[in-house]
Amino acid sequence: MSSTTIGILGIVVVIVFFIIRMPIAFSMAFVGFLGFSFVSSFKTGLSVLPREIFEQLTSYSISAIPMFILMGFYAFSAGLGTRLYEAAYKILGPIRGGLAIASIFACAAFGAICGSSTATAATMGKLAIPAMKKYGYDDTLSTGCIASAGTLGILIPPSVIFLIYGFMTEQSIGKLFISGIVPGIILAFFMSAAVYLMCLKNPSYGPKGPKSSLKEMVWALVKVVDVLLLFIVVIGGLLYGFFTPTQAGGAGAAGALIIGLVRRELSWKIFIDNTIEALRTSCMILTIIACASVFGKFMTMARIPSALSSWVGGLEIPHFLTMFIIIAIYLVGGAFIDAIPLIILTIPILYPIVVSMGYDPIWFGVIIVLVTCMGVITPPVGVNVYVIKGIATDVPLEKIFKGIFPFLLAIIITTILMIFVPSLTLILPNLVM
Amino acid sequence: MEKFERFTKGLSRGFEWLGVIGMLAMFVANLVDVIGAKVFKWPLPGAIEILSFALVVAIAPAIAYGLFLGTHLRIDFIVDKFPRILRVALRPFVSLMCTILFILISWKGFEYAYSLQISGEKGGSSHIPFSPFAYILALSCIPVILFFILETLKSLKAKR
Repeated sequence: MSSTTIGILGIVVVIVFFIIRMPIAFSMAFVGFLGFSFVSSFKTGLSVLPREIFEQLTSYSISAIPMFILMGFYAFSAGLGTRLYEAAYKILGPIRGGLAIASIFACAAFGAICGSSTATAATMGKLAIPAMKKYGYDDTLSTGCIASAGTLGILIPPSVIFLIYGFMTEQSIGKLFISGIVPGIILAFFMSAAVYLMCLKNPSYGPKGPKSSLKEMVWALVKVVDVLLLFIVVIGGLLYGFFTPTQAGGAGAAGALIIGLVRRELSWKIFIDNTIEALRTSCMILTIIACASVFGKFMTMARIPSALSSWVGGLEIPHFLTMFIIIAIYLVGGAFIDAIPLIILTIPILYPIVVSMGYDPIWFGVIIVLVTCMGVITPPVGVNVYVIKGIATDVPLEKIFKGIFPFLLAIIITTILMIFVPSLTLILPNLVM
Repeated sequence: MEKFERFTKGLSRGFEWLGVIGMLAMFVANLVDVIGAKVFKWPLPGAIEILSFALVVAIAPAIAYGLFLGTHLRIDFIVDKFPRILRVALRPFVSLMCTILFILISWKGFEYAYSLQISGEKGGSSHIPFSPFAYILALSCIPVILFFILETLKSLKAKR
């Protein structure tokens, strides 16, 4: 049996392990070890197992991930989400569907200090869903809107997905972060347009909210200046090389902590609880990365990425069609596997193909994140939908899934736009760096 | 069985607290380095290595308690559609596979840590030895192994 055949068998076995409910991380480590032992020797496989995991868990570059996760949790506990929502609510509330539109922009703003889609959806869901209920918003609109707008958390920097992608492909984290801003803003506008059109068609979906005076609006904006400052320090510092990604995450976490202390939102208990929660999330992600490296080593040993690359290179189909096939793989895969393991599993295999076809790695990173955005809201995995279900317990799951469709359409349109107009993605990285 | 579960859970919780210390150590070391480098032009010596070592102290001990909380990602919805008999048969198999995996990581991890201890490998700038952190990784597998043994026993009991 050739090593490539063993590699393909390895991919099949790892999928079988996923299906039979073995934890994703451990499936990859186990199959990686077995495959490595098969291709080289059992002794080598045994020695690779702890060595690879240890090397990954002592890698400075991935230490940025827990730091940014910590920043998101401290930002949440410092009440930044509440103030962002209040500001958006004061300004956009009075228009038709305004509360839902305000929630979308509040999600976008919270995404600027938090790198996780689930954390963004959970934070805004707790604030926006009761408010929308109070003003008679339809449950389908309110829950679908927050579940979908939560995805802005991984598109607008900082983003855990960009960090993982950058770590795996050795691309500049700063460039990746900044490349998500324009698509993130466009997506927020498309999502808002979806809300507006829904409310135009069916006014009872999103009645107008109460009007605020100019003074109230200005005051609400003043109260979120600290969020803007935090974003500028962290992302600006990273872009201009003042911070490494790990330092930027640490500085952001410290900044959020200081804001929480100054505003008296933080207590010792909240601080410890949020540190523990950040640790648990980081542990889940980093365990997958460490275990996937064993599987990745096996894939490289079995020459899967190079074999696949040369196979695709030999196909007489246009490059854009290959790209659409790759995107389709992520779309279908994203419906069944959580975004993070899917990216960790596929990037080492598919990334060389994308690069060999001459596509820009930064642009591809944005496309991956956009496709991931679809994965986190589509059934059956749709993690954001389950997060919202946990908040709006009285709303049936089917209703939330129904509610995401207009927003899914907004993500699809944004993705198509980014595919056909790559300059929209690359304009900021080219301008700033 | 209950006693064993309580012990494993308690041990895992204890290891998670070690992880919290590692996480806070990372945060503090990072902060000291940033303030030192940017304000006083005196970065923390060996900061990169300190952070890297603190990362393993944070993550590895937290794996076991994450299993109790169910934070480690798995795909549930496909197995849920399987016939009951198949689901019941698969549970101990999956737990057993995971037990074997972590026994191997722990066993070879201790060997690897020992080899690092013998060779006296140290960080280039911090001069901190590598071996204690490799030992932490190997040790952290113990509550994970216990968790999966517990899972295997529970699923076999459920089978009966």
